[in-house]
Amino acid sequence: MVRKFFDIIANNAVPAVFILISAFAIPLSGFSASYLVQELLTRIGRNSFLILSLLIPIMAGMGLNFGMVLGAMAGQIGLLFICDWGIVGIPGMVLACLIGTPIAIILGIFCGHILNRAKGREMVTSYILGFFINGVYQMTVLYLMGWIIPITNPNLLLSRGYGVRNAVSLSGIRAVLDNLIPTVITNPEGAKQFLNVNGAGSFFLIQLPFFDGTIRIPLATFIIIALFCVFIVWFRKTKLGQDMRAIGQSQSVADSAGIPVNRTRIIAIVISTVLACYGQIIYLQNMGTLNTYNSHDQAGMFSIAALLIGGASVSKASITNVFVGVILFHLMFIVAPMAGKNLIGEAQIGEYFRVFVSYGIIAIALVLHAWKRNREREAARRSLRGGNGGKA
Amino acid sequence: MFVAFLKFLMRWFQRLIVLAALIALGVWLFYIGREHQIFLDNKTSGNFKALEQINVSVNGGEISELMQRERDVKKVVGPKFEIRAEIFDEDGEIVSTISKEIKICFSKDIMINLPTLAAGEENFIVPAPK
Amino acid sequence: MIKNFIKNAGWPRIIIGLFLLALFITAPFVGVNVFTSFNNTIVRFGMNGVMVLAMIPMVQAGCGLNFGLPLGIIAGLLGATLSIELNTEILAKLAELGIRYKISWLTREFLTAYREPAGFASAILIAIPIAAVLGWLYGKLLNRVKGDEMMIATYVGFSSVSFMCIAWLLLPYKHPTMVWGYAGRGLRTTISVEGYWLHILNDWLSLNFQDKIEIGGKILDVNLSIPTGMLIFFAVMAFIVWIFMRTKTGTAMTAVGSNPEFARASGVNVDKMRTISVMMSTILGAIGIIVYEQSFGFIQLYMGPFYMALPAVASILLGGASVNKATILNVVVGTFLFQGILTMTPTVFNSVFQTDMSEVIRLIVSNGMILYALTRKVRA
Repeated sequence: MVRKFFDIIANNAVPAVFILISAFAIPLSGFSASYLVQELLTRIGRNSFLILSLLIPIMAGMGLNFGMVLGAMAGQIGLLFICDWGIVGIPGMVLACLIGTPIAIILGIFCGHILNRAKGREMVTSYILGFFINGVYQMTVLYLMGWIIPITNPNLLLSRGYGVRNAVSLSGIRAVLDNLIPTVITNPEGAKQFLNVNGAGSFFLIQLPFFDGTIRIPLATFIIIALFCVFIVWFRKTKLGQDMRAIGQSQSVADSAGIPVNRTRIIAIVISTVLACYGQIIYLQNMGTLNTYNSHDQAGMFSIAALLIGGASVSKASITNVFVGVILFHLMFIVAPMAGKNLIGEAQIGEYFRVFVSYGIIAIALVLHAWKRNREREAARRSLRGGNGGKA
Repeated sequence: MFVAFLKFLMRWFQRLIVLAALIALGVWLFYIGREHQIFLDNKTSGNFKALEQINVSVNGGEISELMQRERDVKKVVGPKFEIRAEIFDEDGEIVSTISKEIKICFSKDIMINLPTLAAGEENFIVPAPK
Repeated sequence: MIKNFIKNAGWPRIIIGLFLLALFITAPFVGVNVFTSFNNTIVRFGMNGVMVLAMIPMVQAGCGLNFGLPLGIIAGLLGATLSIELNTEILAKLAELGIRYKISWLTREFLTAYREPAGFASAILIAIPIAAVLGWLYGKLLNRVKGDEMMIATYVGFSSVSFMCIAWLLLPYKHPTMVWGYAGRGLRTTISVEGYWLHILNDWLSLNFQDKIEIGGKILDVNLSIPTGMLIFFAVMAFIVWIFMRTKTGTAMTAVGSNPEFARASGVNVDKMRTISVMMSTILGAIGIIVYEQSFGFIQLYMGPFYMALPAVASILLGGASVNKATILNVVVGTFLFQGILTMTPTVFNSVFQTDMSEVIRLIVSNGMILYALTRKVRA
């Protein structure tokens, strides 16, 4: 019984450490519970989709898809177009997805081919590919848009007449998905106040007598995320999903079983890229502003760090990991600067701390994965050499 | 051989239909989701003299009171909108009211010349100012 | 023959080479002073050369491209900041030693006269042991993750830089030119090395020409200043690496890189060789950044070293290296080409298109080059 308990802790060391850090940092930060819950709900809605897009390449044994920034860039191009045309609301979001999809598919196919040429070092290759395509993206957005690619809205263009501004307001689609089914949780007192301010609109008003504070829930976003989780569970059971898992186990075995390895790997990357495109659009509709040249940069790093903090590894990740990760990672994100300020008197320390944790956790996860794999390889080699007598 | 060719053709035909449907969906989204700026202009245009005062509301929104030579701008989403206007004389009495549905279709921003609209003429839509 | 050349050089290298050639040809016609550009290229070559040199040991030992260069850079930054912080203490200590051991030339007057070279030397001497220790740990780590070195190196670099961000704020530095004025603690983001060892190598034996020449009716200012000292320093470092790769240890290292199984069979300690190569790379990175700073004039802390590995990696690849083979010639050619592009693009593009596309071109060229190298089939 006790042994089993320790096993669980050992297998989930990373989430456990983060729960411990949070347990110290939350009281230090001095935030109220309702504030934290509200922030977390917002961030779960904002980030989950992006993180979920990482699952399929992991399933296919391609490691963490650092190339997901390609999809994020495709989504941003879609958003730039709808901003230029002035398409707002849900139609605007859907249209942005529609425009982003073919771009994401093309980039995904490109990425897949490149990764097939770099088997065994997919991660570093997809990482550098992200930088490379970032260069192409910047060239497109900064020089071609408004010159060759028709963008006319003066709110988007730089004053020189071509190239998109650094910050683009997405006021037309800001929080449209989050507020599609407006839902509020509060206590009876708060409900009265809320109705006074907002009027008796079409709100789902859930009243909990013991609840402290008022929380808005992005219900529609959660529904989309839930649907997506169902999709992933279903996808694992399809023929394609089974093929991917077989390739993830062993490429050579999959190949001899007649599975088109290279083609399936490309499909895995294409799906991931397209989903990252939608994920970035959902992310940005919540943020409400597009930092044309930075928004996609951090999408990859933060998503990967969150997934790993959730207890995933380079070769194994589940939907649970995604949600545990997004909660723990963003909990730290919210409380670290305040905790740093209250502890040492400098918010900057907390700021750097969370950056350090993001990179550190990725480094540790990569090291643990490679270490384990090499040990297994070594053990396999020994047992091959020495028959049963080899000391493993 | 022939059957294989037919199958091949069928496949591409299906793909083409899906593609066309997606493009149609895109166009439809563009059509229903576009935001337009409606400039309301109470200025003399041709034979129609600027009105003393006109209260305009678009799609049942906030009412804006426009005196002579005043201009206001409203934002609407979608291909058509409803405009309601009350026209006043010098004494502040309501002379007439107008209620009209206006189609914008695919153009972006338009300007409505209110005196022309009040006179019941058709050519009240003029190009939006830059 | 041409086909062979293309095959050996690879398309990206040829395209980039032609691009640079086009830049140099266009330059005079659009009013760019070629002499100044050339001079800048030479200076930047000297600034970055040693950092590119740092790639060689790890590539040769089969540890892949050193994306973890920021680790070495951090050692260099520690050396640089400590040399300024402890400048007076070090000089006093040296003078004391001179008196104690009766070294006739090591006097207070001598040290005052050579304060700046002494500061520079102390920066390097402080940095080397730090780099050696960090490199040793880093090497031990990389030995456990064979096959995934490059990705892990990248994140070791990133996490060490972000860890040092916290450290720069908390370390008890006191020197008034380095800490934030209002708080009295925490290092500044950029620290000037003026008055310590600014341009110490650049100005040593530097050759200056000043002339006006007439080309096609235009009078061109020729204002050359060749940083001979820095080039000599690079040459010496390159020579040390060259010699080292030819010693017994060096050849063993190369053997480990080209065929680890064979090396193991012939009695070479593979892990030890790899660790030595990583230590060397890290030490060279540390020296490299100090050389860079003395020319640049500032020590850049915090997120400064973050992306510094990528240009160095791209340079050596551009020079013809692959993921598992690199020579001094690759370093020289690659650094020259890469820095040439970096200096030429902004000036030429500015005069032709009135915009500065250099950042975008740098991104595409450097990462395109790395991507190309990563997707080549490696001989197993």
